[in-house]
Amino acid sequence: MYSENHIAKMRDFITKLLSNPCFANETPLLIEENLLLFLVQNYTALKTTLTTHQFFPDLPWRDIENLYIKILQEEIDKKIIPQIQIITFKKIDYNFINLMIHRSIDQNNFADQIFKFCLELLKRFEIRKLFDSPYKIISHNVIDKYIEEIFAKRSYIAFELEKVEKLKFPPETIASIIKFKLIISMAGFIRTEVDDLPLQQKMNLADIKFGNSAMQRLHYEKIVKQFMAGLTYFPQEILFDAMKANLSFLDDPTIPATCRLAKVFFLLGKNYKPNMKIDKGAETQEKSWFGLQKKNYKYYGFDIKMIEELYRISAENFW
Amino acid sequence: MGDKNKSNIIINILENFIILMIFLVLIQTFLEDFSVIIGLKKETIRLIRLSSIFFDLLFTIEFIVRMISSASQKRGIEYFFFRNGWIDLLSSIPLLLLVSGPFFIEEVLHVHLASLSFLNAIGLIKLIKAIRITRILRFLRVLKIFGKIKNTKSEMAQQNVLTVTTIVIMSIILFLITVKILETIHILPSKIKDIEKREISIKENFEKLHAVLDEKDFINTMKLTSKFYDNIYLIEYKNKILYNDLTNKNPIDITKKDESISIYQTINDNLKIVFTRENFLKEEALANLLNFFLIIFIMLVLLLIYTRHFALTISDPVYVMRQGFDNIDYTLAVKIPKYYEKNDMFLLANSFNNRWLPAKIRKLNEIRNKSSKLSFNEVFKNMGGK
Repeated sequence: MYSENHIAKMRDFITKLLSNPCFANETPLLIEENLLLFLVQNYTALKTTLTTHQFFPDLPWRDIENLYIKILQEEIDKKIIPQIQIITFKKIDYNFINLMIHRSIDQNNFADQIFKFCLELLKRFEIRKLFDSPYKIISHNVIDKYIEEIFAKRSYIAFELEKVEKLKFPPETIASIIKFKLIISMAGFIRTEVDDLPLQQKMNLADIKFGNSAMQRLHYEKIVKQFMAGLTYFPQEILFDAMKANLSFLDDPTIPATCRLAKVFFLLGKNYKPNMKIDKGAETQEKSWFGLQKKNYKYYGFDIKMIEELYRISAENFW
Repeated sequence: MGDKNKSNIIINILENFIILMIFLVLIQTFLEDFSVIIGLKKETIRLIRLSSIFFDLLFTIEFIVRMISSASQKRGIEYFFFRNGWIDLLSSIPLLLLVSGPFFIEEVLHVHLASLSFLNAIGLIKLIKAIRITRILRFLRVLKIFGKIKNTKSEMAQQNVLTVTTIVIMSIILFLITVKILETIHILPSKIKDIEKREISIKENFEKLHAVLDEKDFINTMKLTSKFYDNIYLIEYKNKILYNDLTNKNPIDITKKDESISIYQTINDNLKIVFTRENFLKEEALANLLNFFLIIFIMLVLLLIYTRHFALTISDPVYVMRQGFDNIDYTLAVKIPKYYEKNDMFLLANSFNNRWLPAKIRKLNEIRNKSSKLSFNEVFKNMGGK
């Protein structure tokens, strides 16, 4: 298939692409996405160039393409996997699971399973590019700082967390629950084959109550069963609950506050640019983002009261 | 490519040199009046005034080079009218021709312009007054330095503040010139006219004394009374010095006819009265200096306060909105100050924040990264043609 020489040559090529100055402020997964787009957009030109004697004259183009993707993923994995290990082992406190299920499983067992789950997710192309969002949000402690302020203010969100969702935990633990749900909910983006749902299936009460979300719930239940079998330390209810972070609050007002927050932070992460320079005359990054979402809350299915509170927090703290 | 870089370096060096020269000429402008006020030695004042020929010549050359260079690129009109070429012109050639040039000719080449017939025709005093008016044009150089200060990223802010500053400073200079002209043609009361009147009145008093007293009494009276006139520097009668103001720390060379003295000869040229006008010159220098500082003060106020205001209310929101329109990834909202919410610019910014950006971010999340940041040509160029 590929010789050592082919691999070394491709690695050299990919390394040079990765070191391009235009990627200086980009996260590894975004760079990967960019380089895959580079391959797609310059398909013909790359095919002509990379099959010349200077590169891989003895390989068919299909193999070159596969080698490009393989080496690119390997190189990105080298950068991202240690970071994900830090996120899963250091940034999340799993003790809330023990408190919920009244057991005392070692933290590292939880972390290890979540880490492996993340690695599984990262094998899927459709998840890799989306995983950039939780990666940025968790590694930059965005959730922690907001939760701290939410409990300092004790307004709508704190009420929803403490009284409605009945979470009697300290803020750090609640931040961990949101981070956990954020990671688990990524599985909701897994592309699965069309289910052979019987056409004659009758409309049920859930369809009427929760609209589109009812169908999504079925999909997520399937995903939990099919893709989360390795998460043996986590009860299925908790995993399914986390998947609700993908649902719209407008369709289902019973979605737990932690899931609603996880959804908000996931979408914030998509547009989040760490260490962004703020121009004079512009609002700060997070204030801008929450300000925009006050108009977009219906589109994304956010809880508007949460968005308004998070907007106030970002404005008060110049975030 | 190398030649272009080289010429860019040379242009940069020249631009920096010109900026340095503008700073120096402002210092020279200050010193020229300040030296008179503090009563420096005549020779020092003379040297300071002489140094202005270097700057006037330099700025004249600069103007001519810029004008020719712009004209050769068919941008002469743009340079002259829209890139402040007219300021370069007014602050160079008139000063060279009317202020430093004549002074240099008189002081260094020892050609007395007053003795030239065509200058006699208009009269020396009027010429000096005319020159004094044109000296105000030196203040225009403040605008030159203002134009060089890049106090904001925004080209619009830079141009707007420069335009406002030019209008304000040009208005002050035009006002000052108008006042001087009106004083010169005696429409407005002028200090120099009062001084002349006083000098003539003293001279006439002495003539009357000479008419009623015998020579011995006249000489004694002159000796006694002269010291009570603060503007009399010297009195000679029949080539004998009757009075010399020894309190003046800078001895005046009365053989040199300059603006600091006026000489009257009367009684059949037997009586020579030399009046000093140093106090007047000091007052004039002080007024000049105050005008100079007024212009600098206005410039600084515009620079610090108006620029900020303009940036806050115009150029910064425009910049943020332009970034939002031009760059796909730019999703920062415009900051709307509380007190300017009803300002047209911020009504527009409000629409940008609440209509354009939310729609943009929705679309952005749908289409995000549909194109790579890398271009094929760039990649293979960086790889040395591989």
